[in-house]
Amino acid sequence: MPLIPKPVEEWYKEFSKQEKIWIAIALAVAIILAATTLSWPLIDPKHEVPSSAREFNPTAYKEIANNFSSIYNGKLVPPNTDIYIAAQQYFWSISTLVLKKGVDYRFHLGSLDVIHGFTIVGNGTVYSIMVMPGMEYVFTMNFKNAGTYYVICSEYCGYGHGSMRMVIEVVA
Amino acid sequence: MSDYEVSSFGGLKIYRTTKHLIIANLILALISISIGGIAAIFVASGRSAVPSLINFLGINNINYYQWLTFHGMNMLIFWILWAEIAILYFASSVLLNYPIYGYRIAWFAFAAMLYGQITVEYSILTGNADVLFTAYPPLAANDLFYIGYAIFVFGAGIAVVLFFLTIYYAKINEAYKGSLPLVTWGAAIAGIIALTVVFQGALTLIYTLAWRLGLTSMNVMAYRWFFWGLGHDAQYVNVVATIAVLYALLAIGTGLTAAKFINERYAKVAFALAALFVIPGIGHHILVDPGFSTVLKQASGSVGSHFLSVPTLLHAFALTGALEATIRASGHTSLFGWLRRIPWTNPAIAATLFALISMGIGGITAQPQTTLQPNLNYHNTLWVPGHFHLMVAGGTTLAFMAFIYYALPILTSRRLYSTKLAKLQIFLFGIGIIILGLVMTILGINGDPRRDFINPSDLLPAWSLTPLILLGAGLAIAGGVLFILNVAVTIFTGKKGGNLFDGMITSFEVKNEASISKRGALAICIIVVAILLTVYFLSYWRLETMPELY
Ligand code: HEM
Ligand SMILES: [Cu+2]
Ligand SMILES: [Cu+2]
Repeated sequence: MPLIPKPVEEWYKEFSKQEKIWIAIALAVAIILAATTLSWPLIDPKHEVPSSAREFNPTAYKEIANNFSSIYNGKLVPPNTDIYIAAQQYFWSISTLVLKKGVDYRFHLGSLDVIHGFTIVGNGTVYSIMVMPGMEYVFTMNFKNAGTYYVICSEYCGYGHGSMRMVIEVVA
Repeated sequence: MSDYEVSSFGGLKIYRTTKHLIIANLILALISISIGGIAAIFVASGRSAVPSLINFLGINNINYYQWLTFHGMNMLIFWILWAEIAILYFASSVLLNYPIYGYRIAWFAFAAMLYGQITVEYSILTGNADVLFTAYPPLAANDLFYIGYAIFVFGAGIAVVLFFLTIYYAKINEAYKGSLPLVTWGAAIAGIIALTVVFQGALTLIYTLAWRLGLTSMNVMAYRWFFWGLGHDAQYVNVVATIAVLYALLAIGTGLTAAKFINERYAKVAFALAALFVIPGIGHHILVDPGFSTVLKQASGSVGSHFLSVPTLLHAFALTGALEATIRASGHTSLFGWLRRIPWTNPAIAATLFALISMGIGGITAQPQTTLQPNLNYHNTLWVPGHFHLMVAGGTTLAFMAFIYYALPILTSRRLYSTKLAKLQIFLFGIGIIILGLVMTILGINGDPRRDFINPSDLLPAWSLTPLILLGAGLAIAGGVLFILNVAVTIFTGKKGGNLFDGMITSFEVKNEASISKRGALAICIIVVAILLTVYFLSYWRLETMPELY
């Protein structure tokens, strides 16, 4: 029994046929799951965790992000314009981002203090990536549906964490 | 040294030194789960978005995170580790009939853990450590918090080493002959993984302290990798220890009949595979972090984690198959007919099945969230606590609770205070956590964030489900209270003599051992895997409905 020591002959048994079948199934499942995620970039390279990031200087970045916000807060960002967002306890550098549907936008995202989370919700969408101090994420987003999206902070960053929000309006 | 009593269960030798140590560890485990449970009331209420309840309990955006830190630390770190140390001592000293090696050092380890815990509790209670159990820098707690955390982990590390030394000395002094029992083997695998946890924990906490003292700068990405080296491996200590306990419960609960139908070699191989695959899984905690390469995320986070599911799947069949064969042997032949004969009023079997169901659901929701692309949709939503409550509360905690119901009488020769309450408790807690886990999972699909004190319904209508959290929480907390009372009363006033396990063991006659089959269990396991694959591919399909991101 499993609670008491015993000689090798007593427990070292062959695997039964059912056990062998199950080992094969378990391995097959792991292989199917692994193969799916590895081949996904070939199937759909446009729904991926962004891979581009670079270190940045917070002071310089803050200025760029504030500059971006002072021009575009609440105004349509024209195509081919890079978007700079800085996270800080407890707000985003821009409060309303207006984007055009179906356009590729290049985003830059970084934190000026602690770790934050960048989560987009709304219109049936949920997407999250992390916002790190000292490391700037660079990625492309293209909204296929018009409507209102919310950005909430999804990594605990202190007492004001729950109120750290921003709006993305996507217009047709 | 030779001071022992012989238990009426299996003639096991219970050394006095061992008994006192295990009971002391269990008392601390009980205290920790009580504190964690009180915090659970505040966390669940705070998260329920029911304003009258939130106001009544005085929860606000400052103390919510204090309660959440308190809950996470006391449940995941303190309760689980105290209980695991007790289980390691049980699996070595009691099952191998040998006193704990170096029991004075074991008391030192106990004192270190206690000191560490008190220090951490003090930091949290005085509002100096609202950083949650992950304590990601540059958010910082006071130094005391890290020192206490480190000392606790250090003490636990000593206890794990003593567990291995006890096995070693039991072997060379011929306290037992033959191979390690399956349960001790499982505990030893948990112990090996625990040593990697202690090592990485020490690294993380020393690094953090050095940063706090101004000796080094803090690389946030490095911290997250080190921290999850500790955090991820620790969860596999839990999974492996839970499974070892489930084998013990199934064997004891069926009056040792099920033991005949467990293929120990198969189970031992599965345990060993867990140790092999655990380290590569670390990467699933940094899947959406900038600065880590996609190759690392894929290899470690996704592919590594998928292979880590293999050993758990193997155990799932070994356990359900052993139960099926046990019931079949007493004369049941149809494919699923044995399911109707499951003795649900047996606490060990009920707990085993609830734990398996809970971990089965949690294991399914684990797959999309450990996979690079679908994880984008689940990361840091309530899906994640939904998953781990199913694993570590519905699985580990429930299994440990039931284990304590059986281990205490073996250790003390005293009967459990109330078998009826134990049965009720397992249902309340099991069903409560499964409801809680499912509600969180559904909210997570809709993007409701974890670790967030907000009134979610003012943002998205789909989040107005949140009050349902209270349903699962209420049942689970009621179950938790019954557990704590029952065990505390047993420790302090349990009655000696009589039938040790009255109403807690179901006996099965073995009628026709030759025709035993486990095809029903195999069929169930295949159905579960089919659901798993369906959920997995649905989550890829869901990815397609999102805006483009790359
Ligand atoms: C009595 C039943 C329980 C209830 C009602 C409960 C409730 C909750 C809730 C609602 C959260 C999510 C809070 C948030 O993300 O904002 C949470 C978090 C958590 N719970 Fe539980 N829980 C229970 C039992 C347990 C047990 C038994 C464990 C572990 C053994 C546990 C470990 C955790 C951990 C580690 C967290 C995450 C804390 C964090 O994000 O920092 N819980 N719990
Ligand atoms: Cu935040
Ligand atoms: Cu992990």
